[in-house]
Amino acid sequence: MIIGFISIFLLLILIDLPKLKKSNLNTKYIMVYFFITLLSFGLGLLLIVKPNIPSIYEIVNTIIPLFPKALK
Amino acid sequence: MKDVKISNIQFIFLLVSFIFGNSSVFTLGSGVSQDAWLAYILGWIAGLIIIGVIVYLAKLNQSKTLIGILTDSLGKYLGKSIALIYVVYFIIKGGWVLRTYGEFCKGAGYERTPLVFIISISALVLVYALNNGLEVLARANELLAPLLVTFTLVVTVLLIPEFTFDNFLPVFESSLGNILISSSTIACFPFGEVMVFLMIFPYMANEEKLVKFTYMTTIIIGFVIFISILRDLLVLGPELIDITIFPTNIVVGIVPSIQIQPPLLTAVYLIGCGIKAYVYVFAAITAITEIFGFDDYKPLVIPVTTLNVVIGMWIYDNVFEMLHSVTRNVPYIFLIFQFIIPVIMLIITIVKKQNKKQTIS
Repeated sequence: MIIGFISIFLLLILIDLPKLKKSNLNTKYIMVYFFITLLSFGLGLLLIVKPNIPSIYEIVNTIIPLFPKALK
Repeated sequence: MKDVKISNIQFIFLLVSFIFGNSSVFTLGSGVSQDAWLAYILGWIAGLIIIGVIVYLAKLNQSKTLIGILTDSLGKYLGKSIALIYVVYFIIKGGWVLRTYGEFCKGAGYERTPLVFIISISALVLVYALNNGLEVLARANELLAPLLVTFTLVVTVLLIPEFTFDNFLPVFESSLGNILISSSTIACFPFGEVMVFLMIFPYMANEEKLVKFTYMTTIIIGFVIFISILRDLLVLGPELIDITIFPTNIVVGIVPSIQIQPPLLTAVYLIGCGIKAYVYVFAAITAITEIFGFDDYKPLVIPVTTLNVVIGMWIYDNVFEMLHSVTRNVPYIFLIFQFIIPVIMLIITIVKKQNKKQTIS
């Protein structure tokens, strides 16, 4: 599954390469592109490797009750 | 990008599909049983106030996107920092819409298909649409949005013999507090979500009339959603809509004397979800492009959509958490983005305009 995920991911980058070449390439653009790419890749891989990590819903539900306590 | 313009009618249909979007698959206000219609009316009115703030802000800052308004109101660094938070908000919302889409598909007859597969396939369609640009989607939506409304009305008319008007009784069974809580969530979802159109308004060919068009559309589509809530309530009854996650699935399944299969009808409901996901992903991508001053947004389409898919998979563990978040706590967090920050920006814009006038005079 991990190998499949990585190969799909590399394929997506390969699809994007001609577009990246066409657009006015600058360092900032490449940095932002790879930051988002690596973020989605990292999160996706984390979800595959560790499916039990708390969901966004659980994280939000843990944070919300803390606010009234902090205000007190 | 700004050369792309969408006509008034395209804008109206885009807003129709967006508001109707994934709200059509839930029964809004389902937490308050037979008072759902009452909670919806109150939420609709509150939603119109939120939309009033958003369109007034857009009118004062014509041809500027949300990012432009933020940087003008709050300065370059603070404005761009808040704009980045908005990007995260758009991505999370886009992922959430994709997840709703996937869960609805699973409920509509794809029980054994993995959720990640449904979401990824819909994301591929999104990538294709995003690469073609806003104008192409707006044109396609001109054909699809009327289908969405027509099918809802046709299903409602066909179900009239199944209506049980006793399902309304007793009125005010829920406490006023519960009705108000439910109505505030309805104000945030789906009406407050129109805030994302601050990224779309500059692409309108006739931006001067945005107030009129936005209000007109919200009132009309709000009425269609109201009809669908009444239909679900009258057909299924208060107990069933309180415990059902996607009542539309059940309602469509009991349409009498129709030759079309229910999955085809539910597919029509999915059009709205697709358009809504598009608008969020488009807003996120154009926001990133504007924040960092890039010329072209297209290379970012695949990474951002992939991130949406991942967020869509990560956002909840199961469908019950999704329902709970829609009806309970999460809309209050989104209220910060949909109402509080736009109000602050509106005040700053008005004060700045007045100061400018005083300086000139």
